[in-house]
Amino acid sequence: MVRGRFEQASSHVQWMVIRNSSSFLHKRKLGTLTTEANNLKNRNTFRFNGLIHPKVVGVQTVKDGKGVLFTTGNVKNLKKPLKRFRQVKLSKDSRRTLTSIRRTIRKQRYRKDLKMAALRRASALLRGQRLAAAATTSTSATNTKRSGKSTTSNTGATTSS
Amino acid sequence: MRRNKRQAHAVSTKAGEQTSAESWGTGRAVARIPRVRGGGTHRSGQGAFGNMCRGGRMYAPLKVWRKWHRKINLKQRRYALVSALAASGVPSLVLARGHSIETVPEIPLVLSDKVQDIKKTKEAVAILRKVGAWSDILKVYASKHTRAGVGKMRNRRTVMKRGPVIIYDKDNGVKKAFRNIPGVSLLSVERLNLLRLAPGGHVGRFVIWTESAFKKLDALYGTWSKKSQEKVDFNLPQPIMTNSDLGRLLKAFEIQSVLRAPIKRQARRKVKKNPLKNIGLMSRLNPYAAVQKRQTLLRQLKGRRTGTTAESKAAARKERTHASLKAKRLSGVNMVKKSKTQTSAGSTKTTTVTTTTKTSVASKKS
Repeated sequence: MVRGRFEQASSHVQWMVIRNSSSFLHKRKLGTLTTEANNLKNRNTFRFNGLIHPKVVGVQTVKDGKGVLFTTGNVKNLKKPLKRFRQVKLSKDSRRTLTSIRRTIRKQRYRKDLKMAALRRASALLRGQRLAAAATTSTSATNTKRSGKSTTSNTGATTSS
Repeated sequence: MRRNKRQAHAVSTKAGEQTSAESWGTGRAVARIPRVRGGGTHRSGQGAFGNMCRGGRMYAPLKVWRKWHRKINLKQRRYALVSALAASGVPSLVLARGHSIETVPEIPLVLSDKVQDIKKTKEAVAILRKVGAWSDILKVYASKHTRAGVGKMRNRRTVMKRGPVIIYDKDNGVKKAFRNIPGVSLLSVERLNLLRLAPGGHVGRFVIWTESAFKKLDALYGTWSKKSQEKVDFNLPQPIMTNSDLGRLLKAFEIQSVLRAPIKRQARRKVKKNPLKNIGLMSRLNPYAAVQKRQTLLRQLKGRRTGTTAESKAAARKERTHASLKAKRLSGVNMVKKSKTQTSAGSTKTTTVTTTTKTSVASKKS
């Protein structure tokens, strides 16, 4: 039987390959997490995975600076890693950052299911930056509160560059 | 498949058996294992022959005729190879395997045939840098470490990651140019090695093709509409699903039109609450019950000392201002915004109120 070319690498097929073995997978007692770049909750689930889907949302800290890097995946350039992501640096105050993220997702209808996750991640990262800045300015040891999300996002930032 | 390059090894058949030891039997106050005969040396009287004895034969001595190699069916081997090749063209699978391809312009990465003619490693490095593959090699450098285990004293001291594979058609120097770069593997298209395409059994190695190598793939493995020309009676395996995009399938009209409506609100088992204990439920059943309860409570409290005086009540009332309640609610939100709302709220109230709210804000900031 003659058949045409099959586009077999759908996100579901890729998920079946990645779900149990991937270099980003961390299975530990406290649960399974992943460290890939555009995973908003670092959860190993189909929905939140940052590698599989053509439309992808990522939020990371800007290294050595203020603000947040908001990443969206370019569907056209799926197979061109250099052009795959559109990154916007959002370094104004948190209200503007969050509305920017919220509007991009909502108006483009771009992965609406990830909207809250993106906002929460951005908000947590910004909070971490604020507390770190307060710690350096007031130079009091008690103030260095580090949220777990900011540390994982920093590792995510280093791997993506 | 990895078993097929193993070399046979075994223990000498004579090992541990070159004694004429015999057991002393019972009655000699020693264990009954065979002991070495004769006298005049340390060895005499020592246990022999057992796997538990010093100098004895091991348990199940290794034999050369162990099955070292594994035969795998040709069709299965080809299926695996073809699947590994397919996976190398999916960027997410390559990333998941651990290669850094974020700086590579396109996957699959195909270079012109001039690559096959380079002779110097310096040029090879320059090419890898230009093509964005160098970050993967840097990962290899970073991953070099001493092997865990006895292999380190058996000439297998360092271990490192696998980097990119270069797949070429004609070797006019490529092999020698690239082979000294750590992590890089070289493969000829005609002789692709699954052990190099899916190292460790994990598909998605980073592959760099040369143009003629890439073009040869159609002839080697066939397309679905044409059989392979180089391999006898081989065509690419048929996928189980022609359209594997489950998301689109499930939203398709053909499927959605046959489904019943989704049950958004499940009717779950209700916990029965006791109206005699639950005032809310009691009031729903008997609205007068609330009134009755209140009357009994007031009757009980009549003439009792409770601690609240008329003055304390008035003071508590005064404290429950809009501003103080709002301050309690907004604690922990964006600092910038909070000061603005506080000043706007404070400006509409009396001066005494603004000072109390400002101090509460200051205490939260610290």
